[in-house]
Amino acid sequence: MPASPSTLFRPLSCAAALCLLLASPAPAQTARGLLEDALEKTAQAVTPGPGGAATAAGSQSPGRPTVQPDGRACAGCPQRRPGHALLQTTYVNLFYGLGNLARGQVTARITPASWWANMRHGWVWDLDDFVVNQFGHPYQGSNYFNTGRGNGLSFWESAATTAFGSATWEYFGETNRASLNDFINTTLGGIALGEMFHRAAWLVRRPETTGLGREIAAAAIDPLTGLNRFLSGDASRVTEKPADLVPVSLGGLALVGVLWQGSEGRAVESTGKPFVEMDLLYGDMATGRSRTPYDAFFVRLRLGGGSAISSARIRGRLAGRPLGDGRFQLTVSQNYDFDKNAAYEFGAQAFEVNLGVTQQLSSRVSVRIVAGGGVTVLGAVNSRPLVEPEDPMPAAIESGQGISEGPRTFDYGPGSNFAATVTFRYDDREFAVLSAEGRHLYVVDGVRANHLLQRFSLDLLAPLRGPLGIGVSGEYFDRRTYFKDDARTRQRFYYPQFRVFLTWRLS
Amino acid sequence: MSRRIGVGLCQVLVLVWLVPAVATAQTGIQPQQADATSTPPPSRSWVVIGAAATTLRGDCTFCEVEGREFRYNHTRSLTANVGIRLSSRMDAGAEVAWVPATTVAGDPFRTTFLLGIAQFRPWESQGFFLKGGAGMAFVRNWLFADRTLTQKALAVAIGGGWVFRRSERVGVQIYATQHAAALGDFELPEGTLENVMGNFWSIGAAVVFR
Repeated sequence: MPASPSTLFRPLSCAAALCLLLASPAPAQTARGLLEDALEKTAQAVTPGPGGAATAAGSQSPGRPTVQPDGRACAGCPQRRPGHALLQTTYVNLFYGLGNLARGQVTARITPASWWANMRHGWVWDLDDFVVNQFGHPYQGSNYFNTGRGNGLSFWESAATTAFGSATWEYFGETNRASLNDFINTTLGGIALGEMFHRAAWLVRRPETTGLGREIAAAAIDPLTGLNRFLSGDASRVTEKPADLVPVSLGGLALVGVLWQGSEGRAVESTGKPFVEMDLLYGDMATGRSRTPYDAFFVRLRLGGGSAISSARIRGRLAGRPLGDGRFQLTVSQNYDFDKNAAYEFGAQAFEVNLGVTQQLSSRVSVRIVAGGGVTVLGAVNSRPLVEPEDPMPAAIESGQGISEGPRTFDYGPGSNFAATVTFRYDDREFAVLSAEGRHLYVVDGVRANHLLQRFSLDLLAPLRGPLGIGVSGEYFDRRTYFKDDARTRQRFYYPQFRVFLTWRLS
Repeated sequence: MSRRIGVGLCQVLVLVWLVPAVATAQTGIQPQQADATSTPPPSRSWVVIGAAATTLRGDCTFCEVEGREFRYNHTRSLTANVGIRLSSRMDAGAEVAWVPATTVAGDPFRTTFLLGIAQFRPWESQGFFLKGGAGMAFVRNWLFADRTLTQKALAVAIGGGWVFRRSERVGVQIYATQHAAALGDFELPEGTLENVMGNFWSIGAAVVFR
């Protein structure tokens, strides 16, 4: 099993806070300097040098990198070493395996016989914990992904190393049977988290100056790339930042507040729950022609509000292009979702196509409407069995630490997703956001049912002073379950939620 | 298991041995062109058609606990990939794989995979590739006397292999893949089996058109 959620929670939240802190205006000069550096380097990347688009030094222009004599795509890029990437995914497996062994997990006692047994048996659905499957495994996958990125492989090539690392872990890293849900979550979730961590770490690095502090901080966010930079000497080499890792814009919002959840019996519970949320907007998802994956992405991490992690989501743009006269924007994105609220617990790996349009309502007010839908490759939702099982399932083998015997409390299946958002802006600052999103899940492992999960929200924001603001939010969670029993039973659960919070704008 | 796999492997090896022989039977112009600057073919299309020896086995989440055992079923399969060459190292497209089989009782069932697929060669100078994809599988069976039943499943595939003559218009590859079809419920005349997963292991060869 990968690292448990509690051991991941601290480094992940520290990494997110560190990234935002180093990019925040609190040390205002640093944030402005970061943004100015980013914009300056973007301008340099798209402006041909004295020698044209490709000089002898191999300067990178978007979409057509020139390979350096030493195999680098650009002066600041790592050397391309696919063999190293595949080998390091094996080292990652070794690391996690030794960690499990040290924790006393019997599933770490692998042998050639266990390898052969797993290969003969093939894929199964596992019975592990929800947070481990939907959060822990994607983090492990991000390590595999960044063995590729840290060794000079492209996004798509690193996606392949992620699948390789995940498949070898499932078959050879544990005595557990190879888990299909782990393979999908580790691969797709690992790609999303991995590229996000990789780019976030490059926000922190300043390779054009010496100094190891930022390199160490970046390594905390993306350990594999950081390790490769230290081992190869790139960490102390003075170069330019790779141009395709410099966003055209960078923004963020930190929220601190309290939320109240309702129930079917009451609109609002009396006890409020504190929460902290960090939103990061990397690049501009609303405009531009792009074929560089994750040159624009959105990340949200909400801590507290009823659970350690109540919401985590990533929207990474894979491709985008303007349509018509440029008012419309078509975007293909990869989605990672993790939601925990009173109505449902949900995690998913999905892809989505969105169409957006921006309309100026007055000289200072604009509205942006985005709508779209897509495919959920694999989603998980907490179970709502019609009849609770009387007896637990017998253990397959003698129990030991690390072996999940179930019962598993959530259901797995593919499905679809759809969403629409209307955002109102005043002087390019959001003041109202209305959104609706829905997810359908067709269960193939678990309680036989179709699930329809919906969320409606209205956020109102207002500035107080400078980057400080205030906001209120009303949300409504609706869950409908259509069981496949003989009676075709239907269940519905709905919960309102209200939030009051302070905001700190990071750009 | 061993005889069928052996026959399949022999067929694969014969196919691999024959295709280069056909290529060298051409005129001397071909080798001269091959000696010239090695450039990829102008077409970006990527088409693969192949056959494999396939072993499949069904299982369910709690079958092992309940003492149910399912046998390995040996058969053959046909595979076709259609897509585009994204770069000198990557191809992507769609895959259709068709696996006919029979149950212990002799009833036929067919599994057809329809997947989005991507193939990646880590080293441009070598033919080694990794392959992966996801999509759907359609399992059609004739277990019921009065009707045929087609059920849908979530499908995933992984694999690898080696491609020869990768820069030419026509090449050949040998491959090993594993497909998984997560069926959910599998309806049988005697009842419904829940949480069923089918695993398909294939080893085969294919012709590659670019």
